[in-house]
Amino acid sequence: MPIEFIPCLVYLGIALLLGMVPGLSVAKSVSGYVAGGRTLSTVLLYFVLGAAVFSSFAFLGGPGWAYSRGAAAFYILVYGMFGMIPFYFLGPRARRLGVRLGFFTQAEIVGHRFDSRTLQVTVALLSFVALVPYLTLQIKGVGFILAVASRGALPEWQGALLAYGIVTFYVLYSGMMGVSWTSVFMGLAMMTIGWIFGLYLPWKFYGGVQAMFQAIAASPHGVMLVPPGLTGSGAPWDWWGYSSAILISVLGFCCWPHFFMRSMAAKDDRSIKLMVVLYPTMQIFMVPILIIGFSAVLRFADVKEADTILPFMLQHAGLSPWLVGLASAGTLAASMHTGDAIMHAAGTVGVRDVLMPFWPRPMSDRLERALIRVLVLLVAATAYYFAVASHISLVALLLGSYGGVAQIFPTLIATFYWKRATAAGAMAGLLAGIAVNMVFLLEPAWRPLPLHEGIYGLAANVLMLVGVSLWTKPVAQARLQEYSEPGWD
Amino acid sequence: MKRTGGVPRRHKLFLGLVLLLLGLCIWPGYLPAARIEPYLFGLPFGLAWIVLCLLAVFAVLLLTFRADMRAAGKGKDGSHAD
Repeated sequence: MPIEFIPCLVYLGIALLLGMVPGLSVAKSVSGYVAGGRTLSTVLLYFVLGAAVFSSFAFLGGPGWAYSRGAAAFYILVYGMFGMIPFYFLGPRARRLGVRLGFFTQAEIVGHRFDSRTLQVTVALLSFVALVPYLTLQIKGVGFILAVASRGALPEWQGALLAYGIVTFYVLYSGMMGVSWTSVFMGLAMMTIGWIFGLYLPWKFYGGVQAMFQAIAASPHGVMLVPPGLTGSGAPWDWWGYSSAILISVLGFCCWPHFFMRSMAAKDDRSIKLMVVLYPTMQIFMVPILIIGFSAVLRFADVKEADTILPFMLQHAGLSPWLVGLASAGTLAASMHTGDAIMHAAGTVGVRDVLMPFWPRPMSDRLERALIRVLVLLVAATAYYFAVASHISLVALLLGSYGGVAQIFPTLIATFYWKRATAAGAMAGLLAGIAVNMVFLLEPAWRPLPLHEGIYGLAANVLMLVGVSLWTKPVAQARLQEYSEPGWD
Repeated sequence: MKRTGGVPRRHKLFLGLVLLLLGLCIWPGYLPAARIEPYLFGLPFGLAWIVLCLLAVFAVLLLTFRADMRAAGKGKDGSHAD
């Protein structure tokens, strides 16, 4: 067995163990399986939500952006800094509603607030469609990295099967608590490994971090360090694109369904708020990840697929096999950390928001848990199929879905803060937003200004939401009572 | 815990500061910092600027959180339902 592979195996073993242990006690009820019995502390929340920072998209895509687009990669840092902040107010409100009315997903809240099953299913389907390509990317990343670490002995389809077999197993077995405890371990593993490499590579290649940046600045690539960096094709990026990409990502960030489910799992308001407060400290770990990408700029000049720059360096930089193994384990952690949360969320949303409203009679606890597990398995299988067998461009799909997910933001704000909003208004807003987003995604040349297509979607969304809501009959006062707390939180 | 007024003033201030800091990281507030030199903490100025903004966001969040906890009473967090 290649030495590189040993850290990966050790890591996979620990992940499996940690994922199984909590399942022995808490997964026996729906509340336990879906929301960990609503007992998550700040530390668990911090690491579970940190998954968004350290997905394999960030671990492979982050260095890829820094390598090919320079300062444009700072956008990843910025949106993560601000994206969690709306949760300081939305999170506690959602949690209290969940406790009072027995909700676990954001679509349940939206559906109840607007008294509309159609709206609930639409929001759920939108999140579902966005989650699957997200998961597929994570699985692809894992297969890729294990193939590198095993020096090709483990083809991509087998590596992905091994790692995600383990993830699927503990998600099925332990649910929310399995996801939480493994993510603490994975989060710590990634942070440590990220810092080690972010400092070691510049030191090895250039003698230091500043020396590295100075060398890049003095080279023909120097212009990439001036914000807002470069576009994918290497031309200077414009401020419109950079700024609007940040705005749409900030708004889209807190709409991901797995985030909302985490706030339902929190044990009290304080844990949610403290988690939001501490979140920027997680984001700072993105800096060494970007530095890894920058360290490759002068060293490896002609890597075509920028997202593969990290594995490429692992193969060609003449590093010790132990270091290569360590970096591979870190990337594994990044992927699985996000993948498990997505699988768990997709299964829950699918059953509670899509199946349950159409189920002829009340679903028993037992049946609901069984169905969620079946769906987790189906989602994993679908994503796995796309990851190893299909050649649809996923990055394009994912970028499209971000603009789509952000369209939920006005609906969420209206849910909690605008009593006059109606189901028809919210529905019209969502559909208009998604439609406009899709049109400009497919035909970028039609945009009046080079802004992110999601911004146009949002404009149409808010316009329809407000217009149609004022046009239609308000929601019954009695229902709104639950939502009429004073203040923002 | 029941609040008498609507949104507390510290939350309006908080939102204002956060939007200001966001403005410093995108157009137009980021323009003056969009350069390589001088280097700070070994990083080009544009990146160091963002890191400084990140620390400022953290500080603003921390102060608001402390004020919130104080307002909600000792150790309690203003949760209504449990």
